[in-house]
Parts: sequence; C-alpha cells; structure tokens
Amino acid sequence: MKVIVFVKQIKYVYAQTGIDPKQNFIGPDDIVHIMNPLDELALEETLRVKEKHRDTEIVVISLGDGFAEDGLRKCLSMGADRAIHIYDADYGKLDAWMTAMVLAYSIRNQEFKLIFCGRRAIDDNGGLVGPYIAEILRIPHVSRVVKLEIDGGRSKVLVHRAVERGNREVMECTVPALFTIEKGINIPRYPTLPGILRAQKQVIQRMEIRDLELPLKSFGPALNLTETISLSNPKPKKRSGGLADATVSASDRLRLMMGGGDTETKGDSTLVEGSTDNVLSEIERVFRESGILPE
Amino acid sequence: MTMHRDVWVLLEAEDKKIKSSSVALIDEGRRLAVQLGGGLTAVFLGQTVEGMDHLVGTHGASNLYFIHDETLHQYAPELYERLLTQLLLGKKPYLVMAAATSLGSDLMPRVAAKLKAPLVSNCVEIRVGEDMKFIKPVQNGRLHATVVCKAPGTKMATVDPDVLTIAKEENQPKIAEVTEMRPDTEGDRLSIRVTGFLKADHRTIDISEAEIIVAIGRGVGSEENFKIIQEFADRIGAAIGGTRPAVDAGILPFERQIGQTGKAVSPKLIIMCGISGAMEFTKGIENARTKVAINMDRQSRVFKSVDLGIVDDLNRVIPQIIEHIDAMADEEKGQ
Amino acid sequence: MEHMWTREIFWNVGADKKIVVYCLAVIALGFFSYGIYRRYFLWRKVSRNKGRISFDALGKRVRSLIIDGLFQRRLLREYYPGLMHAFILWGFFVLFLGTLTIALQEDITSPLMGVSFLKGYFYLLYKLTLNIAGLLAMAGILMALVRRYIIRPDRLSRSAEQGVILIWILIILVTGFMLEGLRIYSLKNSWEVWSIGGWIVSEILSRLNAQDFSVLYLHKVLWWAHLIISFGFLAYIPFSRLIHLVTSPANIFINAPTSQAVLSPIVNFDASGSFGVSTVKDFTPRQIFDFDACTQCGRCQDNCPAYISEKPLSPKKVIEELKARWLETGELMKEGNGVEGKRGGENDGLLDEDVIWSCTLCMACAESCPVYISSFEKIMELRRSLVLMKSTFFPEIATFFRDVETFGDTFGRGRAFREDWAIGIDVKKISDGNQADILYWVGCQGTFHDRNNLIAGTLAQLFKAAGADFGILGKEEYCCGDPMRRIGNEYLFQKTAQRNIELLGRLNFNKIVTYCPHCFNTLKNEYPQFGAHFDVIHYTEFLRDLIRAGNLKITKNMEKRVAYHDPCYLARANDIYNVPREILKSIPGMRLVEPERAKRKTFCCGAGGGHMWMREIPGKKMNEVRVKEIMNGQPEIITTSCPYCLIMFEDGVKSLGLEGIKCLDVCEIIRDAL
Repeated sequence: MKVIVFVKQIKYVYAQTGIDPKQNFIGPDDIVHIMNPLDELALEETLRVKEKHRDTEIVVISLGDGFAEDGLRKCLSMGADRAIHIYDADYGKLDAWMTAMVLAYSIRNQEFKLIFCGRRAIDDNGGLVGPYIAEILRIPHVSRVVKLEIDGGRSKVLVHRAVERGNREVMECTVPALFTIEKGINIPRYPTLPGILRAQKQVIQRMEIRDLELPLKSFGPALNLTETISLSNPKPKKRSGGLADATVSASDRLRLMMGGGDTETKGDSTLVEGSTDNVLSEIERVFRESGILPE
Repeated sequence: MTMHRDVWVLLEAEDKKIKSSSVALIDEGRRLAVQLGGGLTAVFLGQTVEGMDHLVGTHGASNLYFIHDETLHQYAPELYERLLTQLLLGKKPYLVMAAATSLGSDLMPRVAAKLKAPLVSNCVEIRVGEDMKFIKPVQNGRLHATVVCKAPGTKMATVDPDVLTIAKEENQPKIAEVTEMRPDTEGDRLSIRVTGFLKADHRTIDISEAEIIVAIGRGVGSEENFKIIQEFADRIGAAIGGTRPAVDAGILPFERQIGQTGKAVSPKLIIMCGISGAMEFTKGIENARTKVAINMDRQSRVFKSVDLGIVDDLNRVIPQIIEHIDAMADEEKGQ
Repeated sequence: MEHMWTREIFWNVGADKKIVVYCLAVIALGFFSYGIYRRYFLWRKVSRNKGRISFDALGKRVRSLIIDGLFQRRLLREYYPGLMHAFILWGFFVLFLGTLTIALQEDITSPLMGVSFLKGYFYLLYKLTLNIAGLLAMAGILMALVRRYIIRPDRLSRSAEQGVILIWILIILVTGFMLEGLRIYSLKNSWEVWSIGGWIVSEILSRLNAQDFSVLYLHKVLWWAHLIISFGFLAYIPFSRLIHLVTSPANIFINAPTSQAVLSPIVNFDASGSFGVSTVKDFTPRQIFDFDACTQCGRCQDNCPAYISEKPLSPKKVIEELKARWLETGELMKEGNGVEGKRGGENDGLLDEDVIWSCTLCMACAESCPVYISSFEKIMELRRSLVLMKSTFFPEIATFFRDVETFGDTFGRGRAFREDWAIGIDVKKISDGNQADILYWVGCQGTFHDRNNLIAGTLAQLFKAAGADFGILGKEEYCCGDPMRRIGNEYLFQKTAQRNIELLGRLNFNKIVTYCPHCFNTLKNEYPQFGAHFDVIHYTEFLRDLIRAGNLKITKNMEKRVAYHDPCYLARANDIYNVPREILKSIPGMRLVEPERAKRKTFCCGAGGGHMWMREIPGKKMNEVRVKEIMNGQPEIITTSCPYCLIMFEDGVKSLGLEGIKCLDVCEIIRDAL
C-alpha cells in the first residue's frame, strides 16, 4: 500500500528585528527554514498507519528549492521510505493552484491508496493546495482530520474532522483519498539517531517540473490564478510588551530600541482598577468580541 | 468584460439560526456590492431557518438562494460542492465570499477547483479598486499579504470570522427574494459519508483546542477559590488551564499545563487569574487572540502584554462578572 | 628477663601441626582464587565492549587509594558509620599485618636465618598494637550491629548475608581474644598485661577459677576453630558482599582520574551502531566493575536530591538493580544459554523510565560514594539509549530539541533576539575583525530569560565599570549544549559543540568568562574532548580578580544575613566555592549563613539534567526542599551564581509563601555594594 505525503519546507518569519520598513522590518536573522509543522503531523500519521499496516510504503514529496532537501531528509530520518524532490529554483512564485498541479501530476500515474498533507502551511496560511490536489486527481478528500483509522478491508477510512469549538464531524471516506491533517491528531516523533544517520546516506530522487507532462502548453507563474503583490505590516494590535517578547510589533520594537530599552513602557493595554462598572463594561466588551455574549 | 459585478455570500446556520459570522458577512458583502455597483445575493444550503428572508433582506441582500434537502442538514462536502458549483456556473457572480469556518474553508476550495476560479483564503480585508485586493495574514499573522486575482471570471474569498462584525447602524427592514431549490440528490454516488457528530465538552476538551480558556496560577491559592474559577469557567464555557506552579501544586493535572513544559494554546480568549506572567508561561499563549488578566498586584509582569488588565482580587471580581453576564442573559431573553 | 617477653607460636598445639595449617591455608586460598576467577569472568565477559585497565595518572590513582582507601576520607565525612567502618578496616588491616609478621618470622627469618624478632620490647609493642586493633575492630562490629539492627537507618537494607558477615567477624575476634586469654591464664606471665584483650579474658578465667586441664583442652579446640573460621572467612570473601575488600579499593584505583563533571563522549556515530545502554551487556567492563564495588552503604541515596524529594529514584537502588541484571545475564551466559533469557537479556526497562528521568545530574551520588561509583553515569547511559535509540521521552523534551535545532537556543526564541538583553548597555561584539581580551559568554538563560537577562546586563555593566576589555558574540552565540547532553542527546550536543568550537577558534580573545555555571563547565571541561582548549573562567572568579585588583571598589555597608547556595556545576564539578564567598565577605556588614549542605556537598535546585524543560516528576518539589533547608539559617537574602538555581529559588520562595525573602545573584549584591 503506497501512501504519499506532501511536505513543504517553509521560510518562517519568526521575528521582525530588521530596521528597514521597506523590508517590513524583516532582517536577515528573522527567518528560519523549517518543515511546515502540520506536514510533520501528516508524516507522523502515515508512520502510524505503517505501524499497523506493515506493507505500507511511504513516499514523501516536496516542491521547492535546495532547502526542500532538508525537510525531506528529516522525513527520511523519521521513517519515510522514499523521498522525491521536485526542484523549483524559483520557489515561492507559484500560487496554490499551480503548486497543486505540479504535485498532482508528480503522482498521477502512481498506484497510491492515501495522500496526506498538512491542513495549511503556516507561512502563506492558504489551506488550498491539499484540496486542489484532490480535485485535480479527482479523488475525495477530507480536511482538518484529527483522527484516522483504516478499516480492515482497506476500502475506506474512518475520520474525525475538527470543526468549531472542539466539536468533531465523523465521516467515512472511500480510498484512494486525500486527507489534510489538523493539529491535535498526534505528537510527531523525534527521529532516532540511527534514523538520522541512515537518512544522511539515503538518496533523494530529484525531478524537474518539465518532466511532469503537465497538461499545459507553457508553465510558470504566468498561469497563476492569484498573485501576492505585496507584503505589509498589520496595524499594531493594542498590546504592549517586554522586549524579548516575540509578539512585540516591529514599530514598538524600534521605539523601544531607540529609547534605550525602556522595559517599563506600559503601552496601550487597558488596565482597569477600582471602579466595578468600568471593569464590567470592559469585560462585557471582550466577551462580546469573543462570542461569549451575543454581539 | 463582465458587466454585472454581483457579490454572493454563503450563509451557515447553527442551532436553527443563521450564524452571526454569516450575518456579518452579509454586511461585508453589502459594503463591497455598493462599491462594486452590483447586487448582493446570499446562498444557503440546509434546513429552513425561521425569518431567514427578513434577516437576509434587512442586512442588504436582495436575493436568497435556499437549497434545501434532508441530506443537507449536516455538512456533506460532495453534495454541497456539486450544488454550489452548479449554481455558480449558471449565475457567474463577480465575487463569492464565505466565512473561513470549518465549512467555508472546506467547501470553497472544492468549488474553486471545479470552476478554476481564483480563491483567496482567510482574508481580513477586501478592497475594491482598479483591482480587487484581498488582504490576508501570513507568517502566523506577523505580516499581511495583498493578493490579487489574475484569472478572469468569478473571484472567491474566505474571510476570517474573527474580523467579521455585524454593522452597528440600523437597517431598514426588508425581505429578500427567496429562490427555493430542491435538488435531486438521490443519484449522487458519494465517496464521503457523514456518519456522526461529536459534541465537545468544555470541561474535557484538550486545552490546545479550546476557544476560551480560564488560566489559573499559583495566585489562585485555595480550593475555595478554585471552585469560583470552576463556576466561572462553566458559565462562559471555558476550559481550565494553568501554569506550572498550579499544576505542581496539584490543583490541575499535567495535561492542563500551559507554557514551555506544557502545551501551547491558541484560544480566542484567555482569562488569566492570579498569574504573574513569567515567560515560562507566556511562551504557551503567544497565539492567543485576546488576553485578559486579573491580578491583585498592579506591578505584575502579566499586565505587560494583555489586552485587558484588571487589578483586583479575583474572589471579588469574578462573582461580579458572573452576576453581570447572568443579568445580561436575562436581559437578552426579555427582549 | 627481657628476652623472655615472647611466646611460642604453636603453644599447646604443637609445631608439627604447621603442615596442617598450611594445607588449610592453601585450600582457603584455592576457594578465594576460584571465586575471584569466576567473578573475573563476570567482570570482563558480560560486556560486549572491550575494557582495558588504564594506568595513566598513576600518582592520582595511588593517592586516592591511600586517602580514600586506607585513610577512609570520604567514609569519615559521617562520624558514626565512618568510624565504625574505619575501626573494622584498620583493625583487620593491623591484625592481618600481625599475622603476616608471624609468618615472616616462622617461615622465613627463623628457619633461614635463625632470627626471631618477636620478642622483648618489640613483642610487647606488637601485642599491644594487635590487641588495640582487635578491640577497635570489635567495637566497629558492635557499632555496625547496633546501627543495622537497632538504629536501622533508611538507607541500609537488611539481608541474612550481612548479618552472617558481621557475626562471623565477631566470632573470629572473640575466639582470638579467648585463645590469648586461655594461654595467658595457663602461663601466668604478668608482663602479658600488655595484651589487653587476652589479659581481660584471663582475668575472667581466674575469677572463674578454671581448671588447668580444661583450659588447655579448650584452648586446643578453640585454636582449631579460630583457624578454620578465619580461613573460611577468607574463602567466603569472593562469594559475598565481602568481595568489596577486593573490588572497592580496586574501583578507587580504576576510577580515580575520572572527572564526574565530564560525560564520556560517543565517538563513532555509525548508522548501524547502538548508542547508550539498553541491556547490561552495553555497559563497559569498568562500569560493570562499579556494580561489584558497591557495598550498599547508601551514602548516595542519603545525598540524592531526587531521593530526598521523594522522587522515584534512589541511586543506591539503581546500582543494586543493575547489578542484579548483570549477575543474571552473567549466569545465563555461563550456562551457555546465550543471553536471550527472560530478564537478563536484550530487553527494555533495565530501570523504570520515571527513575531514569528523575535524575538531575547533580553528581551528588558520585561525590558521596566512598569507592568512586557514579550512579548518575549509569542513568545517563540509559537516557542515551532512550533518547538516541528509542526516541522515548516526554513530548516537551522533543519540543525542546526542536527549539534548539531551529533557533539555536534553549528557549526557542531565535538569534534575532540574542542581543536584546544588551540594548542600552552598549557592549562590543567580537567578530572576525573585532577582538577583545575577554569573551563574555552570556548563555541562553542570561540572553532570553526575563529575570536572568537582567543579571546578564548587570554583569556587563560591572565589567564596564571595572574597565575590562570585553565583548560578546551577539547573534553568533549559540546554546553551549549542556542540557542536550545531559538529557541524553549526545548527537545534538556534539553538533552544537562543533559549531561553537569552529566559531570560537576563529575569533581573537584571551579568555572566556561565562555567566552560567553550566556553560562554564561545558566550555571548560567538555569542549576539550573535541580538541578545543579555551581559557574559561566563571564570572565569580573574574569579579573576584577585579575586586582584588581594585578595579571594582566596594564602598557600601550591607547589614544583611545572606545565604549562598553553591551551584552543582560550580562547586561540585569545578571546586569553585570559596571564590563567591570571598566576594560576599568583602562586603562590610554582610553575615554569610551556610546552608547545611554546602560547597561540594551542595544540593541541587531541581533544574539540572534537563529538568528546566521537563514536567515535575511525582514527589516533592526539589526547589522547595532546598529553599526550606536554606531558610533554616534564617537569611534575608538567598544568593547564588547560577541562572537555573535563581529561577528555581524565586519559584520556591513564592510557592512556600515566604514573604520578604529576596533571591539575588551574587553580582547583583556586588552592584548594590559599589
């Protein structure tokens, strides 16, 4: 039984310590390359499938530039059987639809039972590639899966789908099918040392996009359905913070640095005391915003 | 090219009522439709909701497509996908929006793929101009991306329900024109079968999934105080989590520990009671949207990064809050 | 009459019986040798690793053997059990030498040279010494019996074997004195009063008015009984706990040069390899020998902060259980059963995981062991197996590893925030083109923790005030690797260490000063394992030098009671405990109160060995236990020089509800006193 896992190595902006507003305050030290956390959960789930169904072959596929190999290497160290890197030197230019086209066509002629991927990537916050792949391959898919069980005959899969407020929709889905994995389904394993060492020597199969026989005359970002034209800083939320707090907005940070590290800044948060009416009206506002009280 | 620049919104219901996020979405649709110079149409799949035509009309949609069928009372991905796709194929609106809920986020990509329509997910703002501009948070909300649709035809978007608010201004009561549709779903061969629904209990839900959390620290102290906390949490449907000291003191089990050695949580609202705000704890609540802290110590670190800080004894203030929301609830009923 | 002061060696028995005695001796030695030979198999062959006894640092080995073996230094840290054991050891040692002396005269000097030296004043001195030794040994045995069976301290177990051994020794001693007493009684030489023990027995006999004939008969019987019992004792040694007479001193000799502050590196990372210990066969012969050197004295347990905090760990039980597994495995191997037997073979769970994770790597067990056994070293091997081979650990540890791998620090905050603590202080950065005399290694705690980063800042300001030429690595600083290594992720540690070594090797500085004792120990003692020898000092040493040189002038009086807590990795691992005390004492008015466990005997704060990032294991909270102990001295301020300890104590002070007790770093006190 072949199981495909699509993983994404993302450039995650974890801080904004740069000083150039044109770069949205993103400095060279503010980016880390990590595997999309939900994709890691997706891989973990396939590894658990394999623990129950020993004849499973796990193939991980990643579209990306050179960094994609790091992610694939990690998948191998965790226990994936094979890794395929679809090389894209210009990574990041394709939109969700084109990405899905590439990924779908990379496995179009393969016999697979299940496909897993993360529900969304935390860098672009899309949540579209998985469903698109399923649609292109004309197979069913279930999103936000937090529990998964393959029935004995391997003809269908039982899943729990996470919906609002922790509720679950229970569904059955025929195979082959695609599942997008939501957090909470498992805790991904940390690779064993023999796993890490073995993965360092394993061969990662490399494919070029042009080898995929896409049903398109030309190929490239020109065929994107959507395009990101710019990035900007959101308006700072009403919140203050200490210096080492990653939630401090870039502008606040700049102000603090210029001011020589005034950690005593009280900021803009609302602090109420004394008057009970004041407290209650503030709490009421928060409760209405959060849906505890009707708006 | 396209002349009618109509806006469509997808509605959802819960407990036989149109969800407030859907109502707010109609408001947002109306705002955009006005700017685009087109009409506003709502579409709803499911069971009859009382007063739906009035509600939808009053908020500004002139038309309502109401697709109803036994099989649609619970979200059935493939059926919804087929029915909405068919409808949109025929009507070709300029813009279709849904709230980025578990339903909207699942359905819209399915339909978009069928229509090969550009879809922008999780938008927090949509701007009308020469091009429609869709603003969405990326990089964990650190940045906003501005996205445009390059493909011609219907544009689609899902909107973060947390930014959708029902317009404050009074609307003229109106009735939307309802087009009822009863699809034939007999022949559909479905790959996905919905077999059940499990309702979560705020007392047992995993704190990393909870939308509302009451977090307690060592400052809560006695068991007596904990009872007040528990009553409060029950009243607002919150899960209880806590700091490491609270767990170490045996007030809570380890699964409810938030922070560096515990869990990272991402609720819409977290109310921190008697928590000093040490970084070992705050690391776990970085993704919480709204943070409220109740602490007696005005100088407490916890107040440095909250949206609302209440300097008071939680024994005094929490019963007052409970009383207040009870009164509010009574008032709502009375209306 | 001086020449008469001697005795006939085979009096009343007859010198012709000598041959019988020697036959018996040969039999006893045979048993003894056979026992040791059998043991040797278990010591060497159970391990799959090759072990070689090393004789480097011979001076240190011999010195340790004399100090801690012969002079019982570590044992005598506790008076009752220390003296008890020393009496028995010294007593028997002297008695043994006495017996050898007789053999020397009877078999070598007398028959070959016709010289008998056991006479005259020397004989009297000899008798007096031996009698005192015998009486001491007897006192020791009685103390031991009282302690084990009446006082019954928690750390002692009671098995039949232990009772047998004590009674056996007692019988040897008693029969010895009785023999002497019977002889003195029948010979009636008044100068034999020098044989105190025997004289007392003879006095008793005269009170009883014993008959000469029965005295002689009894003497003869007892003589043979004493002989057989004594030889039997010799034969019994390798088959009982008495084997420690051989193994304990040998272990001191073997382990003397091993530093507890340094964990042994895994040298060959090979995908087909096995890392850490998952079965007893994975232990090295040296580690296995530790099991046999253990006398179950329980000092490690008495000093283990985890045990004292009622965690599921006793370092003594760790050794006992591993020893049991080792013996089982060995017996199965001897029987040719292979090793896949039920318990001793390739199986999981040599120890419970809760036990393995309870250890804070504070090294108190190794420090307190009289015979140089390290219990935590074995736990560390088991951790390595859990982490590297099975990847079995708390999920929060996995998060921790990922944080370090992704962000390079133990907080998972990232290099972008590495210089934030220094905002407003203006600290030079050491880089390829920018050098300084001192490299100030801040550490993750000083960099990121919202309490400790204030201390990191205070230190920088003190260095500036003293005019020191120092710089930081800034964004290039990285975790030193200590927590990963002590959690068991040797691979991640070595990758981290190599990265840091490469960087540090490229830069120009003379000395490294660290804030955190853990960074200090790792940079100073563990990086040399990978060929990096930097001159590393702890900030307390640096401040002491600055104060001595007059670069920092203490001007203020501080009328305060201050308790200084020794961080394990400063005091126990690196013998730095006088330095911070010297600094604190240089402040006029300050009253230093010493916690009960101080200096090398200090007690872990609870955060070591990865526990900063781990859930609380059931039991009491270690930091509360320690804070309570420190509070016995009624200090107003608790001070320390380790970021981990400080956080733990601030938490402990809070959770114990101690009002008005401040927790400060030593450097903060210095700052306030300038």
